[in-house]
Amino acid sequence: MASVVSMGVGLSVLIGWALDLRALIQVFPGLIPMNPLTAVTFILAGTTLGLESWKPTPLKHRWALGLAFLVLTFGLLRLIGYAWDWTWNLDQVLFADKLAQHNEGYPNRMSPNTALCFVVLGSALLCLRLTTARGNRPTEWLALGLLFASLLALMGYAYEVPWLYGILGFIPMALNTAVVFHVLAVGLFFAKREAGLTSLLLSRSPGGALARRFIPSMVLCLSLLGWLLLQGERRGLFSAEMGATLFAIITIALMTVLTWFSARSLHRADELKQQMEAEKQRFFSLSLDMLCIAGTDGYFKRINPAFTETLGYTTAELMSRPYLELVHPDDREATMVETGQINEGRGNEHFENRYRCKDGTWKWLWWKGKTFPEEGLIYAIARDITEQKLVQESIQQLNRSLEERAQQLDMTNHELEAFSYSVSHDLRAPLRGISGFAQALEEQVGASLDPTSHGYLQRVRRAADRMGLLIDDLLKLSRLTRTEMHLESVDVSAMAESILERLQQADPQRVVEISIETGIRLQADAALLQILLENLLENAWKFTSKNPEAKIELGQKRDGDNAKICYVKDNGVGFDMRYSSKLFGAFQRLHSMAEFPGTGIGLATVQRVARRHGGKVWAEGETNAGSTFYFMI
Amino acid sequence: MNQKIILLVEDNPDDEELTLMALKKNNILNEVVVARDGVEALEFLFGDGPDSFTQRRLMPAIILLDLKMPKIDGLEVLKRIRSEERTRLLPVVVLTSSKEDRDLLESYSLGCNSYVRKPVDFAQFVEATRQLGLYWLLLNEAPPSPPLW
Repeated sequence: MASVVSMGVGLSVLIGWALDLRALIQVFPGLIPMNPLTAVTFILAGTTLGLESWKPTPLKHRWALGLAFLVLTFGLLRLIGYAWDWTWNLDQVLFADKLAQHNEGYPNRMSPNTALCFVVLGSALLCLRLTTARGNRPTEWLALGLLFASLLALMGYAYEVPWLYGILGFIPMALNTAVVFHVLAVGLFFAKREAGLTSLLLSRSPGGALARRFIPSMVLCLSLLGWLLLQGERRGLFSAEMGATLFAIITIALMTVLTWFSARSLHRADELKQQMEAEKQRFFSLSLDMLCIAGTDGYFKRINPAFTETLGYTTAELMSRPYLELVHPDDREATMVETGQINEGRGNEHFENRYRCKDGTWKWLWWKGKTFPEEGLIYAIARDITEQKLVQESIQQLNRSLEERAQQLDMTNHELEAFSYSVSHDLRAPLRGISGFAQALEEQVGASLDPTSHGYLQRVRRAADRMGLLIDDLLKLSRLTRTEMHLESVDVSAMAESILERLQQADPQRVVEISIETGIRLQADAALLQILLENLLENAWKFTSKNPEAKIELGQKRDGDNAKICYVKDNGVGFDMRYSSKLFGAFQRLHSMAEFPGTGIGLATVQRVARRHGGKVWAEGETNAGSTFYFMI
Repeated sequence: MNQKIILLVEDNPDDEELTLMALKKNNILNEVVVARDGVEALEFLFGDGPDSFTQRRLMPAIILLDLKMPKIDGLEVLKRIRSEERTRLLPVVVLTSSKEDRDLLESYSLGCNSYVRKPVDFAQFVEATRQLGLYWLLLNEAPPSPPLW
């Protein structure tokens, strides 16, 4: 902004000189016009400021340094010119003929104070990027000087005190020159905002606000006041003594008001800050998590009450020794590595270690922290996770014991398999002997035996055959639990239909009324479900055999929880509900062999199939009134 | 004398007797050589003893093989039979009490020609034996004898 004003004024003055437009070079008639060299130097200075502040690059910086050096040189040359009283100087080169015409008592030259200002400006531009070790910026001090020099000239014009803008009878500084210097000085201040005096002026702090309000209002009010009093005095409204008194009184009043307002705003800001500090302090002491600020020297600097509550030490005890002393020896190295890591300024997301409590027990702490290396501080939050750790450990232990149990079960299963294999093979061999030799005996001596002995032999054979069946069924039952399951959608209705068809074919003379609800589907293992259905339907077939109007029904319904229940219902001999608990046990029978043949393994099989699917079976019945078997899969 | 010899490998004397009875009942009068365990069976097949098939310069027409036997079991015998050039093509019927899937699978993978489970009921056993004899000794054409001797 300042650079644009500077370049604009410089250009317009040059154009003014070229085209003889007095308004452009003089501002007001009768005032000193700006020297063309001054205009050129302003263009250079404006460009420098623009190069340095508008998207700076190293190349731009080099150009800027060169231009700043030119500005400094022009000022210096003119000053030396005055000192040695050279008649020729650089400021006479441009528009030399026209300069001669503008001779208002002096030859139009760059005035000495202007030249001095350019020296200051050039130096300020040269060290624009310089910041001393103590954070001072020379540019700012130079700009401050420039500000006062130009203010002096401006005030001189405003108060009509030529001495202020023209020094030692030389040609004075032109009005527009003074304005541009003023603008450039302000521009220098704001060219680098993040450091020095400007940073305070621009900061959000109460001090910054105060400076922003106080300085401009003071400058404006006092200048205006001085000007008004001067005007009054000149017009003879009051004497010089009166003017001075008035100035003093009004200044006192003005300063008092300004100071009071500033003090009040500072006071409010401070109160607000204290309140916020108190809030933070309350949360700090209230927190369940342990909050601390530790130094990179290994000591706690500040801790909240959660620390003393969790670990049992007093604050003094905790602060007086290196915190590493309280860390579990096994965790110390890891803690050092971890704090070493956060010493480099990285936040550590998750870190755990053990701290010794006053009572000698250990507490697991979960840490999150961040280091601020320039302050030498670590801010950290810790959470007591001892309970969690215990739970975790017990879960792990549980898992281990579960694994062991599973292994044992696996072994038992293998043993069981080996057992059933030998049952299948070894128990059957003697049965074959019994059956075979009984028959051989019967064939060889059967004719000479009496009917009773003959019957005995037959009983031996039948008993052996039956035991063979029992062994086979038992093996089938054990195989049910061993085979792998493959769940799929099974059409129960179609499966039941084919089973009943087969039963009808095997027993063609029977007349059974069959009713199967169509479209029953279950998510199940097809082979296992086949076994379940075969057993239920074969039972129904068998136990209705004495009823001339036999009926077998397969259907489904929903229970209270809307779960699907399938059932097989018959009007056979039924059973006494008192014995219903025995129905599903292996080898449990409610009817005699003579009444109905069977091994008593069928319903045990049904139950096992249902259970393998996570389902269940149950039955309802009444003696001689049929029975219903429900299953849910 | 019929040259089609049956080799019965069976460790249980009861089963051996029953099998012989069943054969006789079915009028299968072929010579039956009985090996009472796997070692004996291998001795008959590959050994050099006076009763061995090598000495007699012939091979059994059919081997009835029990699986569960002391010392060398049936599956091991079957493996040996299939691995020797001389006996590679011999018809082997596994005759056993077991109906375990595992046994069925292993027997067939090792190349048995048939797998029969001995029924408990003797009448059924006789029927099974009859069908076996009919099939393997009459109907079935044996593979050409290898030129061994």
